[in-house]
Amino acid sequence: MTAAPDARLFDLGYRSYDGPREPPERALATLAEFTARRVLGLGRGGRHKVLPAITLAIAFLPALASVLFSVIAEDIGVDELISYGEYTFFIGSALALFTSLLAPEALCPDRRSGMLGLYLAGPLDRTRYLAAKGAAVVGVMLLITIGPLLFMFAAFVLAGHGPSLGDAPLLLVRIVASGIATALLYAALSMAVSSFTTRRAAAAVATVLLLAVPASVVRSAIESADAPNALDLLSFPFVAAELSYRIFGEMPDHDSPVTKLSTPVVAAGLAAAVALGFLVCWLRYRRLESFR
Amino acid sequence: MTREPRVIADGVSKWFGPLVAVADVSFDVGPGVTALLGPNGAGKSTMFRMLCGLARPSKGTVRVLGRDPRTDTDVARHIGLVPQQEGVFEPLTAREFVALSARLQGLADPVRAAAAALEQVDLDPSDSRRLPTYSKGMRQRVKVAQALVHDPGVLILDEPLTGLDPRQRVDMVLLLRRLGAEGRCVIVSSHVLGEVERLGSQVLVMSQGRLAAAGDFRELRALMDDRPLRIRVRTDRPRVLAGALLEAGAAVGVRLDGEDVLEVDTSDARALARTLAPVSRDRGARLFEVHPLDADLEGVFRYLVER
Repeated sequence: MTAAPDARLFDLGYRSYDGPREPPERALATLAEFTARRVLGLGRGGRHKVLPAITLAIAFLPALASVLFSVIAEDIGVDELISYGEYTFFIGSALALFTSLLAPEALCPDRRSGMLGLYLAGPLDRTRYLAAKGAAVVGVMLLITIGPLLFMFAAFVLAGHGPSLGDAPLLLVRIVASGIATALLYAALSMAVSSFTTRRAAAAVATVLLLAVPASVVRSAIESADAPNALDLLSFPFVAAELSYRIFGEMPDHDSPVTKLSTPVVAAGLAAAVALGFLVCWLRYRRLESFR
Repeated sequence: MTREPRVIADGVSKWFGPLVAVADVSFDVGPGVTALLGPNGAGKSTMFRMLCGLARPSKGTVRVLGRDPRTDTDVARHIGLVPQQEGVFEPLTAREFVALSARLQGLADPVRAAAAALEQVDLDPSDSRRLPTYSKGMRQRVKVAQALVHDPGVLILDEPLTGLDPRQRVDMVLLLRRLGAEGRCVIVSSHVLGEVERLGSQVLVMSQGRLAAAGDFRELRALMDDRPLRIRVRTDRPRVLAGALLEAGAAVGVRLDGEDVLEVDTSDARALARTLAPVSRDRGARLFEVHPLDADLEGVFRYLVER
């Protein structure tokens, strides 16, 4: 018996992977999802869930209270409860707390641990990496900038206190627009701050300071030195709250320099702060020499 | 296995303000294992950053598989990076961590790919422990697994042997040799020269930001003709043999060590090899051992970085 004439030996050495590949955008979505889960403490130990849960609870509490009052106390009218427009103002501290947790947790550990090098050595370049992180931070911020309002909206509709069928779509658009504007502002500022340090605590404190200090300094300057009202655009939490009032067509029941500015000026101020925040963050990462 | 270059550095320099980290370095690396060696501050990590596209050369070009790793993110799909840092990246299980890498690389079945990569480095994909509980050696292997998960043609490992115990080093060396033998281009930086020698003979030596040598370290040793090679000869008549070798011009210096050991310095190892046996025979000296003392990688490295 002779060997088969077509006998062959095959080289079992390295062959590069030539199977199906998802497009690079998929990597962006993966990182955004992974980051969102991380900052919310999902898939991590209990202690990582505590702060996000507390902040979410603080943000939803006014909405829950409003809905409960509207159901239990029938003599209280909906217009006596917290309005959609003033909600952003009402949960300002929760927003500041949440954003000071989110962006530092999303950005700082990657640079500190060296994970950033692994991401950037893969199909993510710096811009895509930041887009994924930004999407995650904004997405999670939307939980508290839109979530409570949507909850209120749904509850009021179910309880028969809601807007008419004709007004509902416009109100929904206003809820989404206000939520996105607020989330973008807080996300941009906290990401810009977080791009300067690898320490989460330092970034968190700096974020709170950025939200609180300019507001008090600017307002003192306007009151005592007669500085222009436009300077109040640096009072970032008040700018977000003011724009929210205007998106819902409401008037705040308090007087402040930013309320004296026109709506286009307030909107432009917020847009400029958002653009500047993301630009600072992008410039920081563009210059970063990353490996560990 | 073809030896065509997979990684090419051409006149690469990198400076940070007034500090020149890498100065006019050119080399190419083909399939197999190549060690990038150099003392601290030699520019190895900066070179690695540029090879992975994490830093832009101030001058010159870097090409991986013919493409610029800094601007062409598609080539990243063919690069696997094992970074140096000791910290565990994320509090995940090994499988979750490697699967995250697979998802980022766009693999169709990331969970299966992660399991395959972990098996390749002899780790159990079903292990439910989180990475912080792993030993140093296991974490290093997880890092290699995440670099292998997308089956890259180029693997870059920064100090993969640091911190491992001797047994873990042997395992890691065997793994890297296997990956190189499969035809991947494996570039390893390390300070553990004894183990690097076992990885293979191809080296790139950097010193003070410049490329001090490139190639097979044994051939490099042969090129160091300004430095005598020291040979240890064990014989029953060391004094007689010492005189004969000096007389024949095959040795530039000799040193007696104990009763039966002679250390011979020669500037021409081939001439000594040709001369030693006939001279020993003529003088009635029996040879028990002939062994080069400083032809190992450590000797070559010390010479290159100290000259």
